Amino acid sequence: MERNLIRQNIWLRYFLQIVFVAAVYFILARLSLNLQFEKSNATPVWPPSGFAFAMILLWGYRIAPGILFGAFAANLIIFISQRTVDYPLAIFLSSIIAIGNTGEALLGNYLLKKFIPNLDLKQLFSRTTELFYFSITALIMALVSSLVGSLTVFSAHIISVFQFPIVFVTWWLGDFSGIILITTFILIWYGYFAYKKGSIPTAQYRFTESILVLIAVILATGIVFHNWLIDYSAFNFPYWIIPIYVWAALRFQQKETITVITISSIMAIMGTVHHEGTFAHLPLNEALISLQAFISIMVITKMSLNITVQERKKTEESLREIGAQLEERVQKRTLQLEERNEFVETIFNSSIDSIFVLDQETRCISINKIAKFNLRIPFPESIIGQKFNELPVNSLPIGSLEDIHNALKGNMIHRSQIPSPVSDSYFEIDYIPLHNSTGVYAALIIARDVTQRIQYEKELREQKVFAELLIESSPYMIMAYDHQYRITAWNKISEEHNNLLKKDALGKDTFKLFPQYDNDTWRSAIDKVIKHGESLHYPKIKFTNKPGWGESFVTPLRDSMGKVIGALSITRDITDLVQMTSALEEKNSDLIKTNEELSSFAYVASHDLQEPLRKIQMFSKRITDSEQSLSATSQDYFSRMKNAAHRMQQLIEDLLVYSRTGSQKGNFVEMDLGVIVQEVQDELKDDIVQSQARIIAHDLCSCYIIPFQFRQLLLNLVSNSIKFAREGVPPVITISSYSIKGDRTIHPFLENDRMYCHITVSDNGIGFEPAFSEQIFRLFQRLHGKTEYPGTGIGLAICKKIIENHHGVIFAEGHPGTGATFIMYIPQQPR
Amino acid sequence: MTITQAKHIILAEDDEDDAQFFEDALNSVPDSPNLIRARDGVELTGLLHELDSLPDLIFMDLNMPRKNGTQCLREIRNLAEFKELPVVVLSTSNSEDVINAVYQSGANLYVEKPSDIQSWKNAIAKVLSLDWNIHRPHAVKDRFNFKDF
Repeated sequence: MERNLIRQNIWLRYFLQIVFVAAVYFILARLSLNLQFEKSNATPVWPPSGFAFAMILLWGYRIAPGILFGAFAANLIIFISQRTVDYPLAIFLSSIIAIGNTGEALLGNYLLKKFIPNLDLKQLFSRTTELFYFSITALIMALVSSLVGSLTVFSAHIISVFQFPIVFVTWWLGDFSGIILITTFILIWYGYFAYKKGSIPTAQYRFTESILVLIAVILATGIVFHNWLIDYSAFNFPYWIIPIYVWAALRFQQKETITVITISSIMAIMGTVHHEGTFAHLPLNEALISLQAFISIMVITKMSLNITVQERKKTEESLREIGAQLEERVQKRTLQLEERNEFVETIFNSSIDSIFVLDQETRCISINKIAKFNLRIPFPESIIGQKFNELPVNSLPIGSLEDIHNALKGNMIHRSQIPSPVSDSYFEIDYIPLHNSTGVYAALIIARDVTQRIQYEKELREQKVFAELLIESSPYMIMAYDHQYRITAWNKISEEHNNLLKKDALGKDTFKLFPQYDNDTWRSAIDKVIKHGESLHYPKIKFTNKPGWGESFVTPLRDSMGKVIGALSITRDITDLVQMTSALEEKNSDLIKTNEELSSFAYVASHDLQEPLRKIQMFSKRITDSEQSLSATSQDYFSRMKNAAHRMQQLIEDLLVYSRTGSQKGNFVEMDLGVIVQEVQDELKDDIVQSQARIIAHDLCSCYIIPFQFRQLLLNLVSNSIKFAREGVPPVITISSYSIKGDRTIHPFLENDRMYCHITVSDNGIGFEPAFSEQIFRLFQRLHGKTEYPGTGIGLAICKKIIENHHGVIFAEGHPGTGATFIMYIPQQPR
Repeated sequence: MTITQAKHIILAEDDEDDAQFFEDALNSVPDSPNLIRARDGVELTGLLHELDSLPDLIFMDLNMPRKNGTQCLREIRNLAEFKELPVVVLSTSNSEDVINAVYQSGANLYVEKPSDIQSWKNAIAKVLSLDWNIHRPHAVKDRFNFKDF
């Protein structure tokens, strides 16, 4: 149903097209045939031909019937209304002429498509060649129609043989000019509307100008063809209009140009028909023929002009466009080249290698920054342009001419450790050929300063040698292992100790070389070091391959980043040390035993020696007490015996104290010395009273002492002072003390940084010779006879021992008759 | 406070001289107690087990053959029946170490042997008058050494 509808629509549209073409053709034909020559149906103005041709071109052959009907109807009505022929003949003649008219359009369509194979109706007049073919086509097709028409009316005796040429030419020219004007007009406007969407909008001044050109053409045509304003024959020449056509053709596009010419043509025809203007003096037919010729020539020439101008404009525009594109591309390319150049230049100059570029003649083309510097000459650029072998020696770039020539032949060459001709440096040189499309055009010499590297390598070698020397000359066994327990270091001592040469040890798995160590203990020990970075110390390990002991340190070996790369073991043979130590330990235990024996001896001495002595004393006393009859001599003997026994008891007691002072190490406690002095005073109360002694103690400090020993010390000193008092002079004993730093004293045995308690005990007694100041501290040393000053000679020896127990020093100063002073230093704080 | 003077005492002493001095001095004391003599430590401990009634006081030398004073003391103090027996140690030593050892072993008193007969007499008289509830073993050290009070 729909298809039917579409088909119906197509047929309807076709029908309407036919009717439209027939109607328009008929109206145009009726208007034109009013101007026919001698009722011959030949008219110098025939726009229907142009219309018909345009329609055939646009809508195709299928609208030919429309033309046929239109032409037939128009001719028939003319024949009938003028009554030139009979009714049937009129139909026949009209048919022939209509067929001629239709054939004309069909032929034009055929010819134009032959002449222009890729015919595009939308831009038919964009080129002059197309306008030329179009004009040729118009001439030929008009010839067909006019020949058919004029022969028809001649054979129907409507015109005479004399009129035939005029009718033919009129007919031909009329058709031709109709085609030239109307077809062109229709197709140009059709092309414009078909292209309207893409067209550039007309600028304001163009619009104003187009109004001006329209006014100008109307005015000019009016003056020339209608005798407007001034009726003067000088202004009746048609060429007055030409400049305005040229103006339109030059300044506007085809549609404006053709419109201006069309308006002007219509005005000109109207004027000529009314016997006005240029051709007014001629008969109407001649005037119209002249006008049509004028119009045709104008259309063809001005359209050619316009097309040429448009073509040139287009060409200029596309040239400009191409130029702009080209410029853009050139700019882009230039930028790329600049960037590329900058890139290459930067690399060239920022290279730390010296680079020389030499051409085929070994002329220096370019050198980079570092090369200029490395040449070490005042104007390094001066070598540019000079040949390599002509350069002065001191500005010689690194390299050899032979290598350069080889490189210029296309070979890449590498040289290492080349000494510089101008400095102490060493270079590594690369010769690199540079190619372009014609082959090698230059060569690069790239010289890298490797002085530092060579120096570094040398130092590294020396360091390595030094390190190896250190390891080799070590008196200790030095070995190292990597992660796979492979031996990486093995020194001379290791060789000797293990009876294995370095070359046989290096790289071997230590646990395979020494299976006796391949147990969990040693594996986990090395793992601790290698995997966990721990350091191990084995103070005493027994050798497995020979008698003896070693002390071993196993530490991780780290690289510069701190990563553990292996384990280092350093072992020293401590066999002698161990033996010595064990001998020492033996001696020590002997000593302890001896000491124990000694103290038991002291005990025996104290107890068992005193026992008989006490009895001698007791029995002798009982005798003297109970026996009254003893002689004076016996009594004296008994008295002496008692004295001797007493002295011996004293001696034993003092010896006992002395031996105890050495063996008993008491506890140190902080104590006020004043308290000790008071205790001593209490103990010696009887002696003090008896001797009228005075004890002055002041400013006593407190310090760390062994109380019972210190009491003994002061007891000995004070009782000495009482004992050695001068005859008739009551003893005055001064005890004082103060703190002092070790380095402030003159005594060399005191430690500099330690605080000491400085204690003095001085008296006003008999004193002693300064020569004895050291001797008096010796055991059993006495300066006086037993009867004068009783004593055992042990007391001061005990004092010295006590002070030594306190890590102090004691010394005595004295002069005979003036008294004695005992000076002591003991540390204030325990050690 | 009246103190009942000891009626029966034992002297353990190997030295005949010292034993005689002791006896002489004891006899000079009014109401002198009965004295039983042991010649060494073995005899002493034997006596203690043999006697029908325990002595009121024991004087004991330190240095004795066979079994010395310290050993005897330990034995006595380890037996419940003798635990409360007052023991006075007599010695010629004045060494602090010896005195300490005797104190630790559980003696009631330490007396350094005097070196004349009068001192003997004074010492014995005084010791016999002491209250053994005060001078108990391991009591205050100040009252342990006779010469200190």
